[in-house]
Amino acid sequence: MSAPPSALTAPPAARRGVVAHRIGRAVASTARLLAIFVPVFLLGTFLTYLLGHLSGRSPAYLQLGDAASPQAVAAIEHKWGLDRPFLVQYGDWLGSVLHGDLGTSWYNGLSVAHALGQRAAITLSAAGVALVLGIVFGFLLGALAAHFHTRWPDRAITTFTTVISVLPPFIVGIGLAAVFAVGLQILPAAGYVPIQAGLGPWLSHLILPAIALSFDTAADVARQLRNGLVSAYRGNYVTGAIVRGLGPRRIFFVHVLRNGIAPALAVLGLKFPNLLGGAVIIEAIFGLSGYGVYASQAAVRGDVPAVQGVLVVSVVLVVVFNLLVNIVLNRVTPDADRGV
Amino acid sequence: MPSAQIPADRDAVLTLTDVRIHNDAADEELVHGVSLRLRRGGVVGIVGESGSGKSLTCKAVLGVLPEHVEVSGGSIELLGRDVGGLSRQEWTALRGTSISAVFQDPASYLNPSIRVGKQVQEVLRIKQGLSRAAAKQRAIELLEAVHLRDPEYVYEQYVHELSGGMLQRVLIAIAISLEPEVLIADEATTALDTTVQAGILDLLVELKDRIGLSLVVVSHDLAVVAQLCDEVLVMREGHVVEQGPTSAILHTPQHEYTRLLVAEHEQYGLNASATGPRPPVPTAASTAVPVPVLVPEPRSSTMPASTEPVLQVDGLGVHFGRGRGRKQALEGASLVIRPGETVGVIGESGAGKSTLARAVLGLAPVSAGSVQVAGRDITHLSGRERRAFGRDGVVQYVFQDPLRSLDPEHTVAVSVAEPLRIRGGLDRAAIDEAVRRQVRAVRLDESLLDRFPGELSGGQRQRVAIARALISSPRLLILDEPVSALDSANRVAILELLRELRSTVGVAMLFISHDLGSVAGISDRTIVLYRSRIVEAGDTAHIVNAPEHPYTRLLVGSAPTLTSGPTDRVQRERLRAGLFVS
Repeated sequence: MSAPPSALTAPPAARRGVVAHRIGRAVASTARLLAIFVPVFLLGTFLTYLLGHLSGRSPAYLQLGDAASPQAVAAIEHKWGLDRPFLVQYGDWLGSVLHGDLGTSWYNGLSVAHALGQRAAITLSAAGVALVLGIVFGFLLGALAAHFHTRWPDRAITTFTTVISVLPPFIVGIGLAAVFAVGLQILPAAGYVPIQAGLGPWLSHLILPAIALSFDTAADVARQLRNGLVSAYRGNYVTGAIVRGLGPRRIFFVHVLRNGIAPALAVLGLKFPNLLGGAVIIEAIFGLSGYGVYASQAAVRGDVPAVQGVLVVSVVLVVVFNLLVNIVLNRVTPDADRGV
Repeated sequence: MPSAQIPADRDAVLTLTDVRIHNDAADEELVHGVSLRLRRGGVVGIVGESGSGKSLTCKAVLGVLPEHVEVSGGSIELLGRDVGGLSRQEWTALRGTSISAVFQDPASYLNPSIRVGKQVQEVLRIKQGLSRAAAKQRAIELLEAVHLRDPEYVYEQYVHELSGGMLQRVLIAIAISLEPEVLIADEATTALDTTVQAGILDLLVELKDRIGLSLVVVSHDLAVVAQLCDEVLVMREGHVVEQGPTSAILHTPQHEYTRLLVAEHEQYGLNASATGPRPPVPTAASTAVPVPVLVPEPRSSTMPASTEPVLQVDGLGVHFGRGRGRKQALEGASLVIRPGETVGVIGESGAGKSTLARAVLGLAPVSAGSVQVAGRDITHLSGRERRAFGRDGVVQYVFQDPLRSLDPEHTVAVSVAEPLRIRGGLDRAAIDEAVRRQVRAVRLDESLLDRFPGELSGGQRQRVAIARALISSPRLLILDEPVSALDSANRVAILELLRELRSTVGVAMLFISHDLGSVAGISDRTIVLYRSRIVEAGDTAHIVNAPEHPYTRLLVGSAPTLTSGPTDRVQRERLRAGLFVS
C-alpha cells in the first residue's frame, strides 16, 4: 500500500519543497551518522575499560613483583588512581581519551598514545596496502568471472578464490617469505622502512605481508562482485538499455557495475576488522613492530592501559571505515536508502 | 490461419516471414512460424497468454533473445533490411533509432540507482551526440510530450519515487526519443490500473499519429489489442492459431481459443454484446462516457434482509506513520455485508483497497471508527484475542499470488488442512475427509492432494488457496485480487467457481480488484475507493451503467472493451483533466 508521492497531484509549492527536502535529507543523514558513531564509541570504550578493570591486573605487581607488601600495592594503586570507584575512573579515562591521551603504560611509564602513533603507521600501512590489493584483485577477478559466467574462466576464478580464501594469512606469509625472500631473494624478509625513506623501499618491505593479508579480502570481494554483477546483468534495465541502443561497455560501467557492486562494498566493511586483526600475526612473521605486536606484548605483560589504547584505536578505525562504506553505498544505490 | 508467404511490400516497415525460435539448450522449438507485416503507420497486435511465444517473437525482432535461444528459421526484415546476420555494432546502431520497445513492469526497465531524467538524457547524449544541457532540455521536452505534468520534477526523481504509470510514460519518452520507425509495446499496460492503462494506450495512439510510429502491441488481453490494432495475431503455445483483421477476429472468431478470449469479455467484461452494435447509451449522461451495459447475473437465492450483517464497518479510518510522514490510508469508510452477499471493492493501487481488507482482518492500525465481524467488535482486540479470533477462522483471506501464499514445502493436502489443524478438535480421519470434500468442492482432482504448489498451474494453485480458505466454514471470505495473476482461461474458470460457491456454500465475500470486469462479473454491490475514500457505492449494475463520481466514470470509460472508439478517448481526456490525473 505504498503509493509513491505523486508529482502529478503535487501542487507547484511541493516542488520548491523538494530542494528543502534534499537539504533536510543531507542534514538528517549526518545526524544519523553521529547517532550511530557516538553510541558505538561509548559502548566500545566502556566495554574496553570494563575488561581492563575485570582483569584484576594492577601496576603494582608489574612493578613490584609477586612479593609486594599490601601497603606498597595500595600506595601504587592510589598513585594510579585505581582506588577510586569504577565509573569515576572510566569518566576520567574517557575524558583523556577524547583529548587524545590514552594514558601511560604500566610497564615502562611511556605515553601509550605516542607509542601507538609510531606503530599505527606500520600496521595501517600493511592493512592499507592489503586493502588496496584486495579491492583491485577482488574487482578484477569478480568482473572477469561475471563477464565469463558459467564458462571456464568463471570456474577457474571460483576455484582459485575458494582456495585462497581458506589459506590462513600466516601460512601464506611464511610461504611468500620462503619463496620471495629466502628463495629468490628479491624482497626483504623482515623489517620496515618508513615511507619518508622512499616509496620503493617502503613498498618492498610491506608487499609480502600485505599480499598475505589481502588474499581473504580479494577472494570475498571477487565472489560477492561476481554474484552481484551476474544478477545485475539479469535485470530488466539491462535489456532496456540494450533496446535503447546503448553499447556493451556503457551498459557495464554505468548500469551493471553500479547496481551489482553493493554486496562487494558491504563485504569490504566486514573485512576491515579482519585486516587489522590479521596484521597482529603477520607483523610477528615479518618482524614489523606494528601495533599488533605491541598489543600482544602488552596483553602478555598485563599492561592494561596499553591494551585499552589499542582497543580504542581499533574501535574508532573500524567504526569510521564502516561508516565510510555505508556512505558510499548510499551514494551508489540511493534506492536502497540504508539510512547510513 | 498464418500464411507462410507474404508478398514484398514497399510500405512495410517490419516483415516477419515464418519466424521460428528454437531453444538450443533444451532442443525444443518455442515458436513455430510467425508471419506478419507491419505497414508504415500501422498497428499490429499479438494476443496470447504467457508462454505463447508472443514476447519471444518481440525479443527476436529486437535481437535480445535469451541465451541459448535463437531464430532458427524464417526471416525478420526491418526497414527492408534482414536483421538475421547483424553484428553487435550494427544492432547497437539500429536499436533506439529504428526500433524501440516498452515492456511490462516499467519500474524494472529503468536503472534504480540513476535519476530517471539522466536516463532519458543518456540516450540523447550518446546516440545523438547532444551536449549535456541540450540533452537535458530535450529530455524535459520529451517528458512533457508523454504528458507528464511537471517534467522538471519528474526528471530529478529516482525510479522508486514514481508510480508505475509515470514510469511507463518515462520509458515511452526514452523509446521515442530517437524517433524510431517501429515501437514494440510488449504488455506495456499489464498490471497497471485500468485508468492508467487507458491513459497509456491513449498516449500510444496519439504518438502514432503525431510522430508517425508504427506499433506492435502485445497483450494477453484481447480488448487492449482490439482497441488499437488493424490486424491481430492470436498465439498459443508457439503457434499462431488465428490471424486477420481485428473486426474479423472479434466478430467471427474461428479458433476455439479466440472464441474463449472473446467470450471472456462478453461474460465478465462490460460489453454485453461484443459482436453486435453497441447498445444505446442509457439516459441522462450527455457529458458522461458512453457506458456499456451490464446485464446483472440473476441471483437464485434471495437472502433475508433482516439477518445480522457478517461485516459492519463504520467510519473506519486508518493511517500509517506519524508527524509529517503521516499518511491517511483510509478515511471514513463504512460498509455492510450481509450473509451470502458479495461486495466488490474497486479502486486504483494505493486507493486503500488492501488496507480495508487488512483492517477487517484486524491487521491495520485503526485510528477511527469500528469493524464488527458477525456482531463482534474486533477493532481493538488484544494480541491473545486476535489469535483466538484467527483460530476460529470466521474471516478467511485469498491472496493475489497463490504461489507466494502457499507454503512451497507443503503438499496440497497439508495446506488445505491447516486451518482445521490450527483450530484443533478433529482427528486425522475427520480432517482428511473434510479436505477431500473441500478439494472436490473447488473442482480439483483428488489426485493432486499429494502435489506441491510448484507442480500446479496458476489456476489450480488458486483453487487450493480457495479450498484452504473455505475449509473452516468462514462467514466472510476476503478475496484480494484473486484473479489478477491468472491468464484468461483460468480467470474465467476461477470467477465461475466463485459464483458457484457463492450459491452453494452461501459464504459472504469481499471481492477486491482493480479490474472492473471481474468485479462486475461477481458482485451484488460495488464500492469505489478513490484516494482513501469511498466515493461511490451501490448496486453493481447501477455503478457500471450510471456512474456518478468523475473517477467512477473515468474507470468505467477506461475498462478495456472490445468495441471502444476514438470518442471515448476524448471523453477520457476531459475526465482526467477534471481529476488532475494523466
